[in-house]
Amino acid sequence: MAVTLEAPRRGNSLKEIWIQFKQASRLGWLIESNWADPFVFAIYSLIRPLSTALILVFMYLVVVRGSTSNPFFAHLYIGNAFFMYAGRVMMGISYAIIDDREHYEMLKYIYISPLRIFVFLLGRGVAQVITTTVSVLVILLLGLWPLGIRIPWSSVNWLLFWVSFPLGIIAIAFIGYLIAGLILVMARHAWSIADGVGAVLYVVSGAIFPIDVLPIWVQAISKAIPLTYWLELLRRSLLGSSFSPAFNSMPTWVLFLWLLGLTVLFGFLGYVVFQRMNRVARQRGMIDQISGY
Amino acid sequence: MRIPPSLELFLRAVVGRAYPRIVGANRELSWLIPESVLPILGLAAYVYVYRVMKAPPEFVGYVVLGGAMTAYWLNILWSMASQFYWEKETANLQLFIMAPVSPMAILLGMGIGGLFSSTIRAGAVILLGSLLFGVTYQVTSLGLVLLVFFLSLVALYGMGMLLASLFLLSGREAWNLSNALQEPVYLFSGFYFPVKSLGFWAAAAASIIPLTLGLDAMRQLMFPGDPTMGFLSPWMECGILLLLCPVFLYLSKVALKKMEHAARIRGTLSLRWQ
Repeated sequence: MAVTLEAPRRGNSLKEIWIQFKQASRLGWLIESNWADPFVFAIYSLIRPLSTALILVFMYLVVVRGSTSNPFFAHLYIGNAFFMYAGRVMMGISYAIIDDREHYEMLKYIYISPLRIFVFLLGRGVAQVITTTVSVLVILLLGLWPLGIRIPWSSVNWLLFWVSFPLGIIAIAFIGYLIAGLILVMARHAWSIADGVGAVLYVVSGAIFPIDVLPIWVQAISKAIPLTYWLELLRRSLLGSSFSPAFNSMPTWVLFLWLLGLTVLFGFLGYVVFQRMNRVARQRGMIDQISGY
Repeated sequence: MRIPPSLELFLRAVVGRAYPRIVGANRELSWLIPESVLPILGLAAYVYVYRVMKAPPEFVGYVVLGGAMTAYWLNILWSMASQFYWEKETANLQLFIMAPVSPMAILLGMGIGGLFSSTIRAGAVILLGSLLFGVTYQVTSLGLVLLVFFLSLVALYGMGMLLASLFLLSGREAWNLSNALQEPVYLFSGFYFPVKSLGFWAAAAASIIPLTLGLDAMRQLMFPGDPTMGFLSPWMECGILLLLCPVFLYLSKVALKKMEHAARIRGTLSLRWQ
């Protein structure tokens, strides 16, 4: 009797994609968190971002020797807190390739399951959004008390915040896809691509200083990435003022349009590069490569 | 004079474990690019923060020196302490344990092999950082700088061996533990600001990490601009480091023996993907 083998069909309907997304998010969460009990996991998740924030606090205090209620400190602190999303979500999506290909050797099984790799990586990103949100909230609370950052609550532009915030996360996720695509066809230095992009973005996005102090040619790069506008919009919505004099005269709606336009551009780039590299990696048999590097 | 067989075996194990790291680093030179560029990017952000705040110029030097020393801390953390976890994942750990050599010899070999690439990374950071950000050094005593640097590394690698013993029992938490130890040590050892600003007792507690005192002493000897920024005198810091060296080496020897025994009982030496 002839046996016919049918390849697992990847669903295209919205309902099936939603189911895949939910499962991928749950899986992402479990991979991130199930190595420890929730209390230990919470401590581990907070130690690193808290330390980074406190390094900036001490750098500020040792030089200024003044109060942390200064608006400059508030801009620096809030920029650093929200930049954590960039590091963690981008890394969550791109590092999943390294982890599952080289370390756990599971990537090939993801490919032969009904789960779409694109949706699977999104799930890994969602897990990072959840853990990062907890870290950001704790850091912001530390900023409000005991550090005494002043947020003018009565004039916070919540509409601007809630429209800008998810848009920036989407932009970050697509940068993550872009890197994940490159990692798919790299044997060595895959980790350094992810780390390197994170480090470059930390400098050029003006997360902890105004971009005006950067050389002119670096400022041009700053103005071509969505994160710069995202952080500026978040600061403007929460603190009511700009960090960088370069954006002082730019109306908020123009900043928002820049963020929207660049998110669409990076979304297109991230999707196209990832799909292209995904095809190349499959053609070259690189999905299950283990370099041991 | 004939070398005792046990010492000969120890030394051969050190050379045997250091060899692949040094030779591997020379065979695949492309690692030099990310290893020299990435740290510069990381510390550039801190340099710009100091510049915006109009900090005295020596603060940029503090950041560059701290950024260079991160190479050794990262080497300890990822290529020594958590290395037993990676060896477990690649099924090499059981071979190391079966071999008739001391785990200290293997760790020392890893350390010496790692020192090679870490020193290149640190050198690149000093060179590029100094050129890019215009750091000027006023070394008051080169001999003492070198002595402090040497003692800091000996104590630090002893501490690395001690941490490695903890990782013998670890599974996936090893990765997270290394992650969790990275930035907190940057904070408490004052990699990017003078450790004195943490306050006396916090700085004293942080002195258990050899790089805290090593960095503070080297900064005082290389950037004597503001003498009030130092935590203790360089000579006193040198003396404390001298005490820390044998303490960490002894503790690591005891801990490795105990942890290896515990790992044998628990059966975690060959446990992968946990």
